Amino acid sequence: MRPAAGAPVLTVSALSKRFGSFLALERVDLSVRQGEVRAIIGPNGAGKSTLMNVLSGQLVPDSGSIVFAGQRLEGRPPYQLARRKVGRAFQISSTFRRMTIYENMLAAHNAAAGRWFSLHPGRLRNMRAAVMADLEEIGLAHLAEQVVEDVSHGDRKRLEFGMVLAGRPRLLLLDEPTAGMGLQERHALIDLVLRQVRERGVTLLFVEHDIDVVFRAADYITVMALGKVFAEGRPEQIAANVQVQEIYLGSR
Amino acid sequence: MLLQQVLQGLMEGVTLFLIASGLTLIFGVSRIVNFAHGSFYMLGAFLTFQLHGRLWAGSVGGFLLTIVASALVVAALGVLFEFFVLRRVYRSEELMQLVITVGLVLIVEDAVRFIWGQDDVTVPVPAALQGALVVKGTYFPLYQLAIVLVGIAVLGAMWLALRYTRAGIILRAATDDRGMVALLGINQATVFTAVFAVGSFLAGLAGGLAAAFESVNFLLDSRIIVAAFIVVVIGGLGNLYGALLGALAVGVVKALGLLWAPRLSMVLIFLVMAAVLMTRTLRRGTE
Amino acid sequence: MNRDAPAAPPVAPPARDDPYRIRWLPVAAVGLVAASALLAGPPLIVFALTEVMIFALFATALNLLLSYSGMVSFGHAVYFGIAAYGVALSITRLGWPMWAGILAGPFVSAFFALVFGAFCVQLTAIYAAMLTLACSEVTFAVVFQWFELTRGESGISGHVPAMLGLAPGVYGLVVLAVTGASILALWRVVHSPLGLTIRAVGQNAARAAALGHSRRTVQLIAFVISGFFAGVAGTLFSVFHGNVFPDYLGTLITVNGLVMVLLGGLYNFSAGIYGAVLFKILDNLLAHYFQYWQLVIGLILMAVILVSPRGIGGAIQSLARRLPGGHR
Repeated sequence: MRPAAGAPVLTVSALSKRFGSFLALERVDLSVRQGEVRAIIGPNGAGKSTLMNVLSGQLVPDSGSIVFAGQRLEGRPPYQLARRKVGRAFQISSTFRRMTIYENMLAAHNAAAGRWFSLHPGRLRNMRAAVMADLEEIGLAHLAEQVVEDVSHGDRKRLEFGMVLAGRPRLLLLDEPTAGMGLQERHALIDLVLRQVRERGVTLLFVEHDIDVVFRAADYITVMALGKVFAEGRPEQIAANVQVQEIYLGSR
Repeated sequence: MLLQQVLQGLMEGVTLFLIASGLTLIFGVSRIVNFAHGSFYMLGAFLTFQLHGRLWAGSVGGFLLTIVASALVVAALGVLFEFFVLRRVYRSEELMQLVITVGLVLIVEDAVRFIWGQDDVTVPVPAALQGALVVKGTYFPLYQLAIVLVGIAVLGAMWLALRYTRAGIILRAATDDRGMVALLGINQATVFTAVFAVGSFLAGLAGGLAAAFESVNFLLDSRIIVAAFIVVVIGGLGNLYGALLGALAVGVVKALGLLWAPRLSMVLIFLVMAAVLMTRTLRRGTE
Repeated sequence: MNRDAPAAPPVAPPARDDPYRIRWLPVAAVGLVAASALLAGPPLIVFALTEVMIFALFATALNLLLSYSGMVSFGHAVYFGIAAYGVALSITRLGWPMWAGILAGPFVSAFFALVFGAFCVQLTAIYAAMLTLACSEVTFAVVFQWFELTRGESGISGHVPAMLGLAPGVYGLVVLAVTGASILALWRVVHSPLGLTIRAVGQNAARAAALGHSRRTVQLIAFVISGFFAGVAGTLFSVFHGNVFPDYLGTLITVNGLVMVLLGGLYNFSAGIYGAVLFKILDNLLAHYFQYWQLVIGLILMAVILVSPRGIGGAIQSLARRLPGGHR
């Protein structure tokens, strides 16, 4: 746990989203500092995934604003957010399944390099060293020639994470990154994530259900319930918060 | 003249609805785009021709029975296809599924050519329905009215079944959320087979009904499949009521088009479809 | 994790397996065989081979869409035929010299692909495919009905001497050169950064968007490239016969093209080539002896998907990979 340093780099103000008559997000405010690791927790139906989907451009909010590094992000489609260095990993790992691990990472590098429309095969060949280096870092270099479809779930998640990082994002959004993983895999992934994030000074915002993982990783925690921000604080503060315990136990 | 064309349009709309509803049901539940649906329609028409006159020859009841019987045979063939072939590609990519159903189209087309030859066959309308209802000087052919009635009956039966029978409720649930239905302990494979059977039955039924007024030959499948897809796309894949609206709209537009701008009627339908698709996308905004 | 193992240097694959290099030996061999057949063979073979090459290009252009960009085109013949009309009309109506008209053909196709594609990429899956069909059918109807401009059913002929007045074998060589260059250009597109982008968008548009790619822009680019080369094929075909008819935009060409790609196998660059050859064999040879050859194609398609989802092309590739000499 480090004290969060720096000025707020992500400011979410009065973000609201309704689906028909159901109010999924109600005037959510959030302020995240540069380089901070922020966890978003809360009981089911609290609006965590909706918040993530709005932040990553999958959903357009009804009202409110999202400002990141001085730019307004709300309502922008996902590909524009990616270009503005907002990285996102999907809850159900989303990769290019028919391609090999190497090609997946190559695609990520290709997109980040800026000349994705080039017709020179040489450019792809020149990326080889960088791609292999990235694969080394996430421990998948030995599987480079494997087709992603044939690879394990945990490896796919790591690949996706590596691809997201290849874009050198400044803000990283992860929606339940350890979902569907066993205990060991979970810790391994979160350690990998933290290491990369701290090394590069990336601001990380993630939704998690596993409290272990949350307390291990987060600098600061936002608790959501019923579409609103319920409580915020450092992990030890949240752990001691009786009301937070209640909303969790109450919803069982 | 106008009313006459409208009735004609409604009749074609009803047959389109029958085939489109099968197509949209199959997609709604199993996410399969069944290009062979036109082939089932064609088989229904040819089988009606083949069985014609064997069951209570000449009577309307016998005629109806013949059509239903052919539709049942088509459904049986559909089930065989689903069970032995389609099942293996449910988990494959959509393009693979396309190839499989296209393969069936080619096979059925040549099979039909082999069995019944290349020429048109005709199915005569039963004597009792050969006349027309004359209202204020306009002719309303009885057969067309009969088809519209059959369509209403089938629609009513479908509505009742979907609402009040267990099978119907399962079907609606499956369209909404396949996974959930599986979790409820209902065998997903059986649901898929059942819905394919129902879908192909409807296509065969439509073919049987249409046999009396369409020219029945081995190219019937390609003629109808495009219209069926247009209807399904206009109405929204998986949307039964959309299929109804779309079918009636296409049927009437086509009939009126034939009246006012005969050379452009098919183009008109494509333009209608394009317009519907584009306005729907523009309204939805970001994907 | 990997921190305990001694760091191994990243391993580059042997040059033979580098997917971004063309294996020139097989390509040159095929080219030589084709050239000799064209120069020395009987007219029947020359005509058949010329047509196969033209449709191999058409199918390869269509394959770019089907196998890589995630779009299905149900009306690709429109880009084949409109090029031919572009050639004919620019020569007869605009008074352009013959060569200018011929060169204009593919660009007319590209223009139509740009306009139609702009609408079609706003949709996805079957909806987009149906819109491509609509575009094709509407264009066909316009071409067919607008007698004053296109002479409708009668078509236009004589604007270009059939085969440019060359001997069939020589024109065949021209076709070989042009289709060869075009297919190589398409190969380069697929294996370039643009190709990787197209493949990414086609396989998983959401993940590609998360990487920064706009699905619509990328698919439109693929659509225009595909339309352009379909237009090259259409131009070659039209010059081959010295005429153009509405049927050049028609359903038959679209369907044949689709069947060729499907026969040749999806997700495979050479699908169009294998498919065109196979289709020609079935269409010409088989049709003489067995009039129900469509049934054979249907069975082949089914069998191929059930046994080897990557199609005949894929099966050949897997086989070739097992041979010691490297693969194509």
